[in-house]
Amino acid sequence: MIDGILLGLQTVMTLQNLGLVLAGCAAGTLIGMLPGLGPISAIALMIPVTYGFDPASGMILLAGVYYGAIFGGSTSSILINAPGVAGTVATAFDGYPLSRQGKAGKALAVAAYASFAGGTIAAIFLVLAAPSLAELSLAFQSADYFVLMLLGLALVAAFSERGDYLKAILMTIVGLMLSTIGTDLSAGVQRFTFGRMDLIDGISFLLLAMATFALAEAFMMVLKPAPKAETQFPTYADLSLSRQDVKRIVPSIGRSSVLGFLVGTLPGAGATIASFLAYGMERNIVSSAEREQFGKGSLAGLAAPEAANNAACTGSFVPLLTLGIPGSGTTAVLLGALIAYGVQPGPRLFIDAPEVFWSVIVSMYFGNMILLVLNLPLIPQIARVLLLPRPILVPLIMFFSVMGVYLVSFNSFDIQLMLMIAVAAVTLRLLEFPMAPLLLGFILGGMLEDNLRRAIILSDGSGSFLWDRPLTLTLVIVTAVVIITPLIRYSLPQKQLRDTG
Amino acid sequence: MKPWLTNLRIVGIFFLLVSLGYLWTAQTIPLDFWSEQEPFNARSLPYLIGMACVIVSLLMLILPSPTFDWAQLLELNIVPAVIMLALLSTYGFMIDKLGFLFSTFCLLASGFLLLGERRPLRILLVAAGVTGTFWFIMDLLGIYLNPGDLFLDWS
Repeated sequence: MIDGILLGLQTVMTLQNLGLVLAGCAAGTLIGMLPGLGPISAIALMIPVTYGFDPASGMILLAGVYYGAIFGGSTSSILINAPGVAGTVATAFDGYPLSRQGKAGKALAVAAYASFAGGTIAAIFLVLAAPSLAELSLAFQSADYFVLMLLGLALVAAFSERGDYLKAILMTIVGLMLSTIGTDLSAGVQRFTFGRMDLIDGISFLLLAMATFALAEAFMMVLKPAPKAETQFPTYADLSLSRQDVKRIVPSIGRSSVLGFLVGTLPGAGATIASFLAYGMERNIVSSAEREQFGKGSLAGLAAPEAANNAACTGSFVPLLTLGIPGSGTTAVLLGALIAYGVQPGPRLFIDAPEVFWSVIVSMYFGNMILLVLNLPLIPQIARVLLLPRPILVPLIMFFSVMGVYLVSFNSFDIQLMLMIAVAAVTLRLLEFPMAPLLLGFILGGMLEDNLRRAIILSDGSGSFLWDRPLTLTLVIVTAVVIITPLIRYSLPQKQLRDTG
Repeated sequence: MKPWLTNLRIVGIFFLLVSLGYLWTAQTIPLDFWSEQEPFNARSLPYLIGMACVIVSLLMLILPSPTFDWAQLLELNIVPAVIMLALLSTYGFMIDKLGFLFSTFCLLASGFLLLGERRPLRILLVAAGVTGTFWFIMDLLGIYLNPGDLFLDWS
């Protein structure tokens, strides 16, 4: 292992590769900050640039872009409630309210510290435990993944406000419904396309995220103009954290980093589930006074998903580098890049291209350090986005959202579809229905179906896969408890429900 | 007596109908003979999701539901939002015809004006600046943006 780290350091510590880490982080932050352009788009855009480099340098650059884009996505989540990627949706839950309270600088500083700590802790874990964690990931089978995904979906609903439980469950199901639109790849048949060619590939995640978050938020700004006081954003973004703030976020960061890393190592799980799980876990662990603040601008509620999504990004490299299985959409793009370089990821990567494996791991640490050094001093400048007057800011958000989707497909039908979904999202938001569960249901829909199909086929059509193995059975029991408990709480104390109809 | 029709129940009724339509459409998904015999096919998950949606929608109708303040919806600025929606939709239709530069400039300038910006110089400078910078960055990245069918036909 020491030899590997030394080899990684030797590869990274060249002027060119350090420059590439820096360039990758800067480019990723800038691209990721634009609503609609997340790490997948950022990495895809940068892949052609890396073709001139050797595989290790190429991967170092792309890993930097990945981290930068995640941080940039967090920035846009906090400042304008427009998560460009699913992994930063949970960041917006508390980051945006903090920003609305005039604490944008503090929120961005917490995000930067939490991301750095999460990424660093996970990078150390990766070095120490990569081989054994790969074995742990291997122990998971389709049935476990299926139940794990159900658990992830149920947790989002379970951790919503008491009266919002059914709303969150319904929105999750609607997200799952939307994920079934398009071609069923296993059978090659079209589902719910109503004969439209534009729907054959289904609805893209980016389109749905932009329509339900960025665009819907921009329309909400038009529908509900903020009172004058709220539009007076601070000219100076205060980055300082009090000792009390630090005390509040340190335990959250520690717990969420470990959780994020572990979830990230599971193929298919990734930063999204990690951030939602960390948010949910933190909300359950903190004091009741702090819990009240969740969703209204809690520092712990912001630090947890930020640390977890960065840790999960690092964790997602475990299945990619050791098994050749992408842990997320972003690592799938990275997998494509590796193959394009002529490197075959998998167990033999250690032997065939150790410099790629170790330099990527070492570059993660450097990338996190550069992000902190690069982004913290720039935070006041980044926060200046908030000073833009609304009549200018709102059309700009709308334009970037629409272009983010249009630039992927160059199909103007997508713009119309996006507008239709945005109208539905605004209506539902006005009726106080949450959008995040819809997005998560949509993202996990495809993977959920793949794993359920595999589990059912492997058990010859029987449902016994749910209780055959102790691991699956444990996950099933936990999931059932998570789904049923809030439902019982919701329906039993009817007298206590405020002004019931 | 509290009104029975709350926000929860309206959405519940809507999605009950949607889920019934979804289930009806799911059973029209084409399957070949072999797929029909399989324990899990292209219809399986849609059936499960559709049924779950029916159950949750019914629960929303049956379980107690907090009252909703409908009056707040009357205070919304609906007219500018609808006009902005129409502008974006027109932009979607026109971007290929009129080209990125012209249609984006028009969208941004009219959007700024619609939402209350009254300084003509700021409107023109920001709209032109954003459009030009975006075009330049995309050009640098090697991403082609259509100058417009009308422009191409003319040239």
